Amino acid sequence: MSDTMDNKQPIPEENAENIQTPEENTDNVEILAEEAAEQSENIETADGDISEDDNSSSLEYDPAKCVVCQKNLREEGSYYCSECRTEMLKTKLKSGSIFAAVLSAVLSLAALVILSFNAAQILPLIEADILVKDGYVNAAMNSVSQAEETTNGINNISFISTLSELFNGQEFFTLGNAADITTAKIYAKGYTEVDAGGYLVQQVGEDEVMSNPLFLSVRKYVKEYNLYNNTQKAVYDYFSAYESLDSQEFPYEETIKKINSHKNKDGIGNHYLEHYKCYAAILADKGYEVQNEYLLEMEKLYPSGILIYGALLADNYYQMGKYDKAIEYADKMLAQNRNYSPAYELKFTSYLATDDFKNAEKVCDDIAQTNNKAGTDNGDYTEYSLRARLLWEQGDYEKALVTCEEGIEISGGDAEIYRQQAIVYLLRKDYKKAVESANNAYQFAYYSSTLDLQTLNTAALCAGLAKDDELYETMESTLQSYGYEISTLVTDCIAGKITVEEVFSSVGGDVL
Amino acid sequence: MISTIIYLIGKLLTFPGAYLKGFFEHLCGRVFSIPVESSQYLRLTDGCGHVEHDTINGKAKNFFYCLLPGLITSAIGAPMLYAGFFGLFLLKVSFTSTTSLIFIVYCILFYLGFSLCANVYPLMEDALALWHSIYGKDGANIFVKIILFVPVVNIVIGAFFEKYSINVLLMTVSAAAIALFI
Repeated sequence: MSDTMDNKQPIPEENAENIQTPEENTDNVEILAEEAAEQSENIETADGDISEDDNSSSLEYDPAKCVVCQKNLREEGSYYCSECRTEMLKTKLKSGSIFAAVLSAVLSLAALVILSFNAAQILPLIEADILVKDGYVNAAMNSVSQAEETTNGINNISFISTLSELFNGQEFFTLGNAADITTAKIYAKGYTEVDAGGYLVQQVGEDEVMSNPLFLSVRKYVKEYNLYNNTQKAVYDYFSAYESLDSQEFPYEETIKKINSHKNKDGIGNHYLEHYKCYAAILADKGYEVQNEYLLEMEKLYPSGILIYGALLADNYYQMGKYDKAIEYADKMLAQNRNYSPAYELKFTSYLATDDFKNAEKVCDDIAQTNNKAGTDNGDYTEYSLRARLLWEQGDYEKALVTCEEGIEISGGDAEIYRQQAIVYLLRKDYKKAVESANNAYQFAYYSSTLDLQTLNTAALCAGLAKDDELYETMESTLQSYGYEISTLVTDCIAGKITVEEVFSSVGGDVL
Repeated sequence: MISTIIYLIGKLLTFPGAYLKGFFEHLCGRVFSIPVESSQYLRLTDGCGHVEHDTINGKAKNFFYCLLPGLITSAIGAPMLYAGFFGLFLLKVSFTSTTSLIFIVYCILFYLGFSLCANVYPLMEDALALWHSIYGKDGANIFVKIILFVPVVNIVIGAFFEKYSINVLLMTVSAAAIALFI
């Protein structure tokens, strides 16, 4: 019942004082009923409805009578007389209303179908969001790919593809901007906010991100990207002229002053300035302590940028022999990205440096567990190379070789696993096989653009010991093309000054 | 007066749902033999989106009259609301040359779903009548009172929210918050 129920018949003001409650007016009921009957004979029942009388304002309202007809007395416990009640029980449901209800039910069913497809698209994205919060970056990326595959699968359903053709190639199911936003969030958590911003600028466009409110949650990444670029532009000239100079000639103090002059300027990130100061310290060969001072300052200003400064900071601690600190920062990086191989490697080598083989093995187990979470092959076979190294460090060459074979089979060839295999053969004095493995390592690294000093020096060592001059010269010339020489550890070993065991038992346990 | 205007604004903004809610109230009235005055569901009164009906005799009838029409509108509206919401605010589909059609479909579904789900509760008077029939003098037995406490309280609070269009406001704010911050 609405508030208006008792006011169906407007009450003229002059008559309002005459209104009495049913209890009070029992004596007058019959008189009023007669009056009302005389005056309200025009109840219309068109279309099954009981409508109001246009002249109702002239009626004296009687609360004891039916609110509609004001003719008969109300039934007990009702607002209406029995006649009107009987009519009202038959009030017609309009055909238009029935049609609207049926149409809405049909639309609802269609919406249910769309909703089920949408749910299939969204679930992997939600999963990606959860995974990346736990640091499972590769697994999260796989989930985004899965969402894309699901969407393609839905669009390839014959009915939908036919509809799409009918409407000039309209996409009926799309991941919209959600895939880009989720991917940006994965980049921000798993790598850096600068990477996330760069991804958005490239995929969506800066204007769209900054103007469309749907991108509100990821706008900060584009702002960070711009901050980084502005800072880089501002300080780039201080370095470009000096990069090829000897460290003695680099004007360190002057550069630091120049960098500091940009502090607190609009569009400049103070935390990135600290990063560039660290770069200046590297160019001026100021040592790990000085470099770390800047990096720690950057950490204070921008703690979430751990994956920008963390690797260098941890590596510097490792080089300084502060293995606990190196492990601490490796853990910080892994908290953000459990798939960040350099952090695992740093942690692993830090444990090896302290002969903590148990924890070193745990690092390998963690990598395996993280990779399993991804559910698919993500191209990271660090686990095998680290396990192989752990085994040969403990003197178990046979098992190390088995692990390498296993890794090579699963990966289809991986430069670092081949390199570890070459090291095991070197330690077993099997130089012919060592050269073969080292050459494979070089080839895989070369074609996957992952050539590094370790691979080139290991190959040079193998070639030198196996008297493979051609490979040795190739390694030498390749290193020279990058401005490096063959490591003294390698040349000393080939010259017989130190043994292979001594090379690989040096700090860091490697050829550098 | 102001409350009526606010109520009417809420109902006019969600008129498809208000109309269908009125229809389903009417339908339930027919099913439960409750006399219904008119099949005009959209009126410029504080009964807009509902039907004028006689007092309901019987606790069960009262309960189901308050519950079922809203249950039907929400059952019909929820898939539309969520389909539109998922498309527009979670997948964040925007209007481009290749997605214009599905964008429009999502907009329509979201609006219809929203309007249906914003018209779920009975009139405040009906809700209070239900409360009194269950928890008032000569109310239901203790077992029924316990079982129906949550749904009846939900109906009363929901009816209050609908009376001042608070539900429309809350739904709009929630949708906007999720769209912007997720």
